[in-house]
Amino acid sequence: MDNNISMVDLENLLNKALEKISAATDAFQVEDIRIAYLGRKGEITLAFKELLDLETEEKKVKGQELNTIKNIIEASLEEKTKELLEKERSDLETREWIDVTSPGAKHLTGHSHLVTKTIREMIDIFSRLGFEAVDGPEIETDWYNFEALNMPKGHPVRDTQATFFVDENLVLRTQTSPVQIRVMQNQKPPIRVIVPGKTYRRDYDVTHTPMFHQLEGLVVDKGVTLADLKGTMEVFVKLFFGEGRKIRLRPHHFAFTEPSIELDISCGICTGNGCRACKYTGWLEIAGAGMVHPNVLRNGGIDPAEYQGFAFGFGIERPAMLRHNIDDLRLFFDNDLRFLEQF
Amino acid sequence: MRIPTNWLKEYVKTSKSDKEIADILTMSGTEVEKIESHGITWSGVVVAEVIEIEKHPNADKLRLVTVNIGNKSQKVVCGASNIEVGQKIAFAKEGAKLGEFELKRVNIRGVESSGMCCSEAELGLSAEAKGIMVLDSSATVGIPLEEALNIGESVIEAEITPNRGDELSITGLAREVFAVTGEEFNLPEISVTEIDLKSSSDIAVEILDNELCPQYLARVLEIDEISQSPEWLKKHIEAAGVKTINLVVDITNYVMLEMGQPLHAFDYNSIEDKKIVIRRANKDEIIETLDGEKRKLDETMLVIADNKKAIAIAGVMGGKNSEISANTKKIVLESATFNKVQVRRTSDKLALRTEAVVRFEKGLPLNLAQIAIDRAAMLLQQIGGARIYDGTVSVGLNKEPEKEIELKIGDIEKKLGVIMAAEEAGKYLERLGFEVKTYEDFTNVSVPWWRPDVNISEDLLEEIIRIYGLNNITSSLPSMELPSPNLNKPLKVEYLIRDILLGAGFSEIINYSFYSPENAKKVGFDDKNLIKIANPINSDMEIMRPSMLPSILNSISKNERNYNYIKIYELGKTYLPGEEMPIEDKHLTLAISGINDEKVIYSDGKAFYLLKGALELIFAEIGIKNFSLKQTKIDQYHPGRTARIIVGDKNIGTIGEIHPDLQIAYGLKRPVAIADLLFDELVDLVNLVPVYKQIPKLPIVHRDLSFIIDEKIYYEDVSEKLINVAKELNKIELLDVYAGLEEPGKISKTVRLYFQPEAKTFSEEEINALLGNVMHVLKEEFEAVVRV
Repeated sequence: MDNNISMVDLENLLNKALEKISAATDAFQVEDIRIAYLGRKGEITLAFKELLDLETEEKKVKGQELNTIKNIIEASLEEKTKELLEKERSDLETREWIDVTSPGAKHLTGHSHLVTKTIREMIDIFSRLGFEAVDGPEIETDWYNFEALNMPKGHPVRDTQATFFVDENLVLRTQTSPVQIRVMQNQKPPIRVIVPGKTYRRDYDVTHTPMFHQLEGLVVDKGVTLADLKGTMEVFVKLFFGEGRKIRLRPHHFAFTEPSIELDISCGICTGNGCRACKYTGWLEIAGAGMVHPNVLRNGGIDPAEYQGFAFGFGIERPAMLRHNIDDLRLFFDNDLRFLEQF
Repeated sequence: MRIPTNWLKEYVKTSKSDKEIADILTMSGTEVEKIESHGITWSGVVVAEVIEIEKHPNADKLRLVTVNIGNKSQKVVCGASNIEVGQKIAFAKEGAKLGEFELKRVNIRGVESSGMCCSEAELGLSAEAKGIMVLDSSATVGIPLEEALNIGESVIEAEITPNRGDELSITGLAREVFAVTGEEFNLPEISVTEIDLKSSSDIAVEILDNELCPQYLARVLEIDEISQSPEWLKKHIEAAGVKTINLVVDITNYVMLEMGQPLHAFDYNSIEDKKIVIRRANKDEIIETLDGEKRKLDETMLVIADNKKAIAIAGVMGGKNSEISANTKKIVLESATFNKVQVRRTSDKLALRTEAVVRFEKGLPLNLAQIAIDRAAMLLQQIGGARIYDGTVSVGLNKEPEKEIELKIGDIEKKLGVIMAAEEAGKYLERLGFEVKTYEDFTNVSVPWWRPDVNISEDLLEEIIRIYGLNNITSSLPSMELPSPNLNKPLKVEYLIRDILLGAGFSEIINYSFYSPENAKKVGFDDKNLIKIANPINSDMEIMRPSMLPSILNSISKNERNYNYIKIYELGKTYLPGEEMPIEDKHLTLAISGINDEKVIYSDGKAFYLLKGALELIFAEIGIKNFSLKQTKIDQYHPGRTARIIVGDKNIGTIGEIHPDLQIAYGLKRPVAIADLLFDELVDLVNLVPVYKQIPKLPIVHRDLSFIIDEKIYYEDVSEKLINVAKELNKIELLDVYAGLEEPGKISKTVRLYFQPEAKTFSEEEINALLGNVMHVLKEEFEAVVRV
């Protein structure tokens, strides 16, 4: 009888397989062994195929034996896999150790200019209060920049705002306020706008640059009061500078508002006790404001008997300097990336 | 304005400390910049009266003393043996500062003790002391010790707003303090005893320009000796920042500081023909002023003169030729009103600012001149024994017109948002010198002559609210209906683009809007087409920039030393002459200088392609799909590496490497690529709402193809043709270019073609057919040779 699969063969086969499994050192070898015995053309698989040619009784006996061997090999493979994995995991820490203190791989990002960041934050705050941001020309006529804002020729305030002139009629706007007039001329109340933008004055030192930024606000409607102005300023300070800053309104004088006020916040550096930054007063001036002067409303084409309003103006660089402890305003427009990249 | 507080308190009686006075001024509109304290090393020490002395329960040598400090009594532990009931003592309150030492509440052997009974040594008043300091029994309980001892002086330095000329005087400021405290305010009483026999008409006055000098008053006095001023007077004016000279000059300055009216004293004998003429200066007329400078005048200026010569520059400074000297026996006092604008202009032209100018340029009320000249004459008589001639020579107007304003009481609530009784508002106005005629809905208020700044009812509202206190206002928020909101697309686009640029690694710069004419010239602008600043800070800031290029290039030049690779942008305006108004265009300008290891497939023009990539990114994110570059030539740019940025049929900007000559002109080490876009044009084209496209269900298939083609054939022309070969061809990507071929003028390009199956996956035959179509087009249309 042609007996291809003898017991001896099977025993040999098993021993050999187990030997190989035992000798395997990684998952790839284990997989190779699995394929060599149990794969589509593997020895065990082929042996099963050979069974088909046998008599029923023998098929049954051999089949059982073959099955037993297959199970043993499978179990051994599984065990070996597990053993190898355990071994691999046991020294993972040392084998794949990295220096976590080495610097991270770089992701390059740009940096928004501090002025832009500050304006954007202010716009966000005022947007929540229903203000819309608008724009206007930076080279203005004398009428819009001064005359319409209740500063006729010869007005002493004109001298305090060292003005750049283009010619007799044109100036670089000394404030964002001329946009108030332009808005009033183009829009009927209710008006609620802010005007961020560049402004120019003829000063140049550690705390003055000939170009700087302001954010102007204007509210016009029936029944807008000074108390509303105060409330608006308080909300702004709370959201921009954070809770815990005290606010103080001082009467002041501006030609285009009446009454006029200045807004102080408690010094964040010394918390109001007095230091160099606040000139030992405990307070920092951050804005000018007031009720829009009737003449200004008239110049904007609005009847002061029917409507009233308030206006305010914040510097941009100054609050930014205070927040970030910057001691020289000129750095803002030097455009040294070593400065700009810090924000 | 420097305000010696001891002087101030001669007119306003107050229980407030100097610090409190400063706060009152600040909070009513006169901002105090600082308080100088002279001669004392403490704060918070007050006069206290000893009410009761008990034994300390736990210590034999200590006692428990009850003191009255004015507004309250408190207990303090004290070890001094000389303390007795009824004594007035120096008491440091909790929080007081003795030199560097700050007093805190303490527990002394089981007993709470707040404050301290001070010895002279502790106050730095003597080197050593045996017990506590006992004060005179007349000392007022509760007042600061320095006041009780009348030592030291505080000087408050305050900023006077330009509308408040009346506050450039100690009495004016005293009135402000009184308006808030309501305690007690007294102006000095002025009475002049004149000599009947001799008349001031010893001097004649003529005004030749009534507009520039509406009023001129003169008094004549005799004096036996020009002495030094008494100590108290010296102390007052020196504390206020004015040097002492001699009694006559000091008194004119004293009255100026006290009342706000500048005065001048001439030596009578130096006035030729005994006649004063107020006239315009002659061209190139020279006068030596009191400071010893010879000054050249012109016809716009006003002088005080006699028949021969100028003896003073009106409102600015007196002349050397007529000054009070040791030999002066007869004096002419001047008190005049000059045109404020003229005084300021003269002062500006001569670069000569004096205390007189500071006051005249605010505009002085006519009524003040007579009061001030009488006050000075009276002091000269009282202190210097001067004899005052009969009468004042008075030329011109001498009274302001009466002003009455109607105040609508309802406006206090309507405009200020404060509910206040009419009587309360009236009280504040009256303390300031206003007269409230009626208390009805419409109240007539007459304005005192010293307040030219108050003209309309809003001015009265300001007076009321600043004395009431802005911080007493209950805050509210505007309850008005909101204006209908706009999308504000430009702002939205601006921030969107800024965010994209931030992520793409571009840092924002902000340059001055002006630069030098040389910078404008470097980018091709001659003098004619520029906006020039008439009064620039310096020539580097003379031209409103017509182009963004110099700003960007200067910024790169500044940073090249520290950075090998620079990516920056600026969003700002250029300024060019226009017809009525200048033309201001908003630009978005990007620049890249140098290269890092960012992957670029080209060997040439890396900076250009890096920047173009950034443009592609921005455009993709803001929904601009149909943009293309059309090669062009622009003077400042590299002739072979520059293009117009075209969207649809609109030219919205330029991209290119700068011309090597410009690179040299700016001393740049590396080539710079710049993209300069007109921001407003960009905003118009933006589509912020992309439409969703189905995500394909079947996987996309790609094949790479290399071909050799004429190097001058634009890639975009090829890719646009190819993409239309088959609808399944979804995308073409340029993978590589190779220029080092043997055949001249040819270049090898490798593209990756993406085919998107729709209903079922492609068979190999289908893909090959599609590729065949592509190759066919390459060959037929572009004479390209496909490399297999």
